[in-house]
Amino acid sequence: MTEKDILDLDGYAGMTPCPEDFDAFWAVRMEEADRIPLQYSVTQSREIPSFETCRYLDLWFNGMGGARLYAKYLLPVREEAVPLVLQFHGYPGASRSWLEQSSFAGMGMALIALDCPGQGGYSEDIGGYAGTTVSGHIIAGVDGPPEAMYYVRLYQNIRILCRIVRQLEGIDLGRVFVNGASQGGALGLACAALNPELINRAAILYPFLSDYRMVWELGADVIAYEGLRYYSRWFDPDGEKEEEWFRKLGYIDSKNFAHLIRCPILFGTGLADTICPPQTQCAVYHQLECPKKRCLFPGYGHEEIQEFDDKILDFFGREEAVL
Amino acid sequence: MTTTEYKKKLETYQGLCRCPENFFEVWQQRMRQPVRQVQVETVPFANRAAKYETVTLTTERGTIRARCIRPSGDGCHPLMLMFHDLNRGIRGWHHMTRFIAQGYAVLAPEIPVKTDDWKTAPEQLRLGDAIQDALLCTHYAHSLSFVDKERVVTWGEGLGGGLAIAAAAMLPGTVKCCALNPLPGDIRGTCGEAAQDQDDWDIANFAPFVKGEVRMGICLMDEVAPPEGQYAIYNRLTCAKRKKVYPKYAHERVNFFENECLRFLHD
Repeated sequence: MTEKDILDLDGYAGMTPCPEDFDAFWAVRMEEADRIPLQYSVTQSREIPSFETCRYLDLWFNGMGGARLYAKYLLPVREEAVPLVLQFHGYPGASRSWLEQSSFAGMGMALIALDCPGQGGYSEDIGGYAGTTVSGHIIAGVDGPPEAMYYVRLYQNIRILCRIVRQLEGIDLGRVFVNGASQGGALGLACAALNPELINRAAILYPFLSDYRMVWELGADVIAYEGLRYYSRWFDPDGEKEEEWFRKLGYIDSKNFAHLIRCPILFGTGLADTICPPQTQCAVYHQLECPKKRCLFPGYGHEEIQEFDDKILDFFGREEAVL
Repeated sequence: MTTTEYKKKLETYQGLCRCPENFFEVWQQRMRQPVRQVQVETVPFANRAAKYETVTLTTERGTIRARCIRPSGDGCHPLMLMFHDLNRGIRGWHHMTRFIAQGYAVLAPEIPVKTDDWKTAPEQLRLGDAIQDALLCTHYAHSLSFVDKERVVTWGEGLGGGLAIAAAAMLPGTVKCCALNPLPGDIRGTCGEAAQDQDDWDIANFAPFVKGEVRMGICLMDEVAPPEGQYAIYNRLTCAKRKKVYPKYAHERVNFFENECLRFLHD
C-alpha cells in the first residue's frame, strides 16, 4: 500500500457495523468485572533480582472465574510517584524479556506487562468456551453467547488489572499509559476504551483483532487470523451463517472500541503489513474521536519499527501529551 | 544426525582457523589509532532520566557514528558497549534506553555491514574495518570521564556478538561480555582453506584473550551464524564462561537469553 492508498480510504469504518448494543454490552461486562473481589500479590521476581535502580517484581492476580493471571511488574526506585505503562504483547506470545520491558523503567516509569491467558506466558486460561478451541483465540467461544468469548473475558481481566493499578503504591495515577503492538495494540485500544478514567495516553502499533470481515474478504485469514478461515471451513462452509458469527465478533472488534476512547493516541501502521492489513487498521483510526496522530511507515511490514518506538520517548516522556 | 548428537559433536569443536603471531599486539595497535576529532550533539528526547547524544568520531579512515545514552545523574556509571548485527541498522533510542534502568551508560556504534551470504564471500564483511571501528569506539568510550572503568560490559547479537567478544578481548581489566549467535567464528572452517587470510580477524582468534566473564547464547537452527563457528568461539574462551544452547531457535533474539544476561549484569 502507498500513502495515497491510505488517504483514499478516508472515512473507511470497516465492513461490518458495530452491534447496536455494543456500549451497553460492555458496560455490563465492566460491572461484572468490578464485582470480582481483588486478590493479588506483588513479590520479588522469581526470574530476575532487583537492582538498586529498579525493582523486578511478579504480579499475580485472580481474574474472571478465578483464573490465575500473571504480569511482569517493573518499578524504578524513586522517591516520587512514577507514571505507569500497561504493556500488552503480540499474538500468540508472552510478555517479552525483562530486559526489553526495562526501556520504560529507563524513562523513570513503572511497567506492568500482562501475559495473555493460555498463550506463551504464565497466565492460566480456565477454558470452557463453546465450540472449537483448536485454532486460535479469536473464535474461542464464538458458538456461545458473546459474553463468553475469550477476548471478552480477557478485557474483563484487564479491567481487574486496572483496579489493582489504582491500589499500587508509588504510581502517579494521572499518568497511566498503554503501549502495545498487534494483539497488544488491540488490547491497548480496548483497555483505553473501557477504562477511560484511568488511561491517559496510548501508543498503538498495527492493531490486530480489527475488521474481521475485511480480513476474511482479503484472504488475510491466515497466521494470526487463521481462526477465521478454520471456522469458515469447518462450521460455515457455504457462508449461510456469516452474518451471525461476524456480528458476534463485532463485540471484540478493535474498530468498535474506537469511539469510546478519550485519551490521546499515537498510532502507527506499516504500509507493507500483510498480517494486519492496513485497511483494517484504518477502520480503527478513522473512528477514533480522541486527539490522535498517525505515523505511516512505507516499506515496513508487521515488524519492529524503531522509529515508532522512538516517538514514544517524547509522547510518554512529556508532562502533557503532545502529538 | 539428531539434534542431540549434533550438540554433543560441537561440544569439543575448536575450529580450523589459526591465530597469527602478534595477533593481540596488532589489534591493540589498531584500537589505539588516533581519533582526529570527536563531535558530540545532544538529542533532545523528553526523558528526564537520561541524556541522549550522537557521537561522531573522525579517524584517518573516515567517520564513525555512535549513539550514547547515560543516566541524568552526575558521577560515574557502568558502561554498556552495544554492537548491532549485520544487515540491519543501529538499535533505536527507545531500545537502548533499557540499560538506563539498571544504571548503565550505553554507547552503540553504527557499523554498517551488508552481505548476501558471508559464508560464500567472507570478504563482503570487510571484517578488519568493522572490528577496527568497533575497537576505536570501545577505546573512546572507555576513556570517557563518566564511565566506571571497573564495570564495563560488551554486548551484541550476530556480528555484534562477534564485535562484543573482540572488544572484551582488547579492553584492559575484567570485562563482562554477552554475545548471542556471535559471528564470524572459524571462517576457514566455514568457507574452506581459501579463506585462510581471514584468520587475521576471525572472532575465534580473539576468544583466548578475553579476561573477564562471558555469557553466550547459541541457537542451533542459526543459518547466518553456523553453530560450528559459535562453538569454535566458545570453546576457545579460556575465561569464566557459561553458554545457553537453544535447539529450536535460529538467528533471532531470544527472550530467555536476555533474561540470562540481565541476571549476569546483576551478579
